[in-house]
Amino acid sequence: MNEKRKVLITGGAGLIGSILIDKLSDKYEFSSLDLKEVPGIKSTVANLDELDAIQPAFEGIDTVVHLAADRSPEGSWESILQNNFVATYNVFEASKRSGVKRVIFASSNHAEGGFYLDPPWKHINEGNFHLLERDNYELVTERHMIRPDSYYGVAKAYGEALGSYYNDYHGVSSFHLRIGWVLETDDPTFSPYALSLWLSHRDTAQIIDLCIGAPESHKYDIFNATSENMWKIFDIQHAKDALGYKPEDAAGEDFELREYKRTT
Amino acid sequence: MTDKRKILITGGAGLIGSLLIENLGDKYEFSSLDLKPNENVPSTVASVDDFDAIAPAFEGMDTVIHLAANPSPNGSWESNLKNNFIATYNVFELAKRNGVKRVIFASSNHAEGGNYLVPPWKHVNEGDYHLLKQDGYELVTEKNQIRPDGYYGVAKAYGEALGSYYNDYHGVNSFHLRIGWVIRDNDPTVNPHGLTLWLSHRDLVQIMDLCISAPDSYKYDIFNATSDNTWKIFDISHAKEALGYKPQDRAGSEYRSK
Repeated sequence: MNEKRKVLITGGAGLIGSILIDKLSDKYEFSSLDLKEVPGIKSTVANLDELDAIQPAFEGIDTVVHLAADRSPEGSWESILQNNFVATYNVFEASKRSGVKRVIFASSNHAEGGFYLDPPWKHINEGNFHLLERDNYELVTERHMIRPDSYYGVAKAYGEALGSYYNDYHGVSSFHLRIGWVLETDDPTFSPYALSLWLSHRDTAQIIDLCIGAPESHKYDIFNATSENMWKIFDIQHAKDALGYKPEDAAGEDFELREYKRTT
Repeated sequence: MTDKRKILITGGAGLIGSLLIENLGDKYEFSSLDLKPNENVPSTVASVDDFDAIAPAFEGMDTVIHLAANPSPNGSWESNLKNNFIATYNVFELAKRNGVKRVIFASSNHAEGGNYLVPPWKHVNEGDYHLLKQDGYELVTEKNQIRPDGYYGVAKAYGEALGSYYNDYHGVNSFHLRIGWVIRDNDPTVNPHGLTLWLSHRDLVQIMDLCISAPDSYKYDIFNATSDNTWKIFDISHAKEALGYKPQDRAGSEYRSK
């Protein structure tokens, strides 16, 4: 009998953590590290900016999915410094100390959000699809220069760089998913931005599952991660080629502008 | 008579700051912000991680050259957090608040130092030139993925990203020089690492001068910055093409020890 892989989710009580626990618990033995408990899952309740407090949660863990952060793209410098910069260092350092093999980091489209200022991506972001010819404009790939739209985005780019260092020098492999937008409602039709960036719940589960299960010889990579949306800003070809990602969902082009409110 | 451009150098008492003040002092009105004064220019003595203490030094500045940092590629996380991460935020934020037009950031080859682990760059870094054909191997450009070799290198990549954000959203433009190695005695024959990364004193002065005087319409860029060394790891053609950089020095193949 094979034991299930032990996967620690930082931010396990959040939206993406909940989706993973809901859809992949038969396959992996999840635990959570978050500011609150996840019912039914082994939980460590602690703040990620405290290395000593979180270290025990990493013992015996094979893979860490690092989602916890100040998740607001408008987050202040002070909050991002503590919850994203310091916390992400703590996650990589604790992973190294506990012999974790791989960290999967929730990077973000906001590491490249500065591109929304310029055409053709500006047109998509603003819903001016008529100014573009479908599938005939440049997409933002993982090889574009870093262009964040916020401290939040800067911290995501930093996490990718930190992961490269821990992979090369400390044997902690890492995959970095530039996640588009995972929505509580799983319905992206409220804005053109959401239509372009949507990563559906099942596509979220699929791509993170592929990252967890990728061979150990695949050490480090960065992937744009959205569903197969009609009006893309981000090229998802690399995830298809290198991970075998086959998105099952695709946002269309019809939207009705309305406010999106999170409940959690 | 035109006023000279007012330039604040963080780390103005260090090696690079001193070279700039010595060689470009006629052209620009320099001041220094460092833990010790530079005796040749007006100096603010403060630690760059102390936002309130350094704020007055930014008033009236046109350009900031941000060199101050823990300069050790092997510096601890705690030291880098304070002296490189927080300090660099302070510099960009104060540049914004004081209407500084451009920040020139001393980034570093260490943002890409992980590449030295793999051929062909490993061979160059270790002086095994016989394993390579001169000018016949791939160079690391500014478009390669970030691959730092320490917290120091991570902090340099972070500074580049932060600069991009301040340029796009706060009107502070920035140039980022991935500096090879500025050596105190200006002699790169110390080891193969020195031969490939050498940025001579006069080439340093030239490329900084080009960054200071580049037109306002030029908003943001990243440049590898070494002399025109024989055994390169880093491609410097972008600085040549975009800035007009014409390196005057070239390290050869002879080194004293590995």
